[in-house]
Amino acid sequence: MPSFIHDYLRSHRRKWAITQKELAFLLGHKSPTHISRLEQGKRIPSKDVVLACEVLFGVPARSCFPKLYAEIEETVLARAATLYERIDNETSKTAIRKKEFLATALKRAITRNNKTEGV
Amino acid sequence: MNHQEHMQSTVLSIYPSSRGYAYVLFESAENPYDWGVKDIRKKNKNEAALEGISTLIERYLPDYLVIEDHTEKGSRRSTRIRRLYRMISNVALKEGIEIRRVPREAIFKCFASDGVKKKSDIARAIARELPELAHRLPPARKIWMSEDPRQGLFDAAALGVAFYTTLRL
Repeated sequence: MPSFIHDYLRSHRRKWAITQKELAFLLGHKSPTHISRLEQGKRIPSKDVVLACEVLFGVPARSCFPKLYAEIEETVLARAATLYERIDNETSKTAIRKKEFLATALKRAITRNNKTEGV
Repeated sequence: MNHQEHMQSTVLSIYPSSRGYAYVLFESAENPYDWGVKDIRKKNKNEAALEGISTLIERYLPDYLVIEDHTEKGSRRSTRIRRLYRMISNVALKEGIEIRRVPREAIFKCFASDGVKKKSDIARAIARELPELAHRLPPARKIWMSEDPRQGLFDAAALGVAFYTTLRL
């Protein structure tokens, strides 16, 4: 993904001939300025906007907002790794279950990123 | 850069016209990311157009900037547009962006399999290839009609498509 791409909001909007004003209305905003700022990456989309875009354009949030997704993924996975380390020495059944869950999440993210990078 | 990387290069193709300019930014060969037609009604058209084009270049920093080869024999661009092409080349040079000039002949050769004879045929072929732009396809032009400004968008897209085809070869 080229560095200038924050999200694909503009591409999807223009693909369906929707104006910024119309999209602002669809997303429940009064002004098209909000959409313009989102498209330029000057504003971080709220969860309402992310989910509404998924509803409207029918593309997963990960594909529509790749940069935001990557940032959140990095933060969450760092936390998952921390939690894993914290419970790594525990041997109870619940700890084993938790470690299984965290390892699956980490593995899933690595596989997905490798696929995206063509490894 | 290998073949795969070349096909993933970002390309900004620009087609100036008597009324302004049209541009298409390709993220990869089949994916246009942004496109538009800018109408310029100021007295100093070249300066105004260059300002807009410079903004696009700075915002997107494409790998390649593609324009029509106005130096080839038979190119029918006006003196003003030829000057604008030179100005665009200078901006690209300053920003360190590789500039590629695609001759008209190469564009027609690229769409030869679609049996194209006119620019409007190329526009229809592009509308089939890139459905994102299909709704901007201008109606068939009659002999007494002047060119629709939206045609420029397809001329810019044709430059990009032809450029990616040359990379493929």
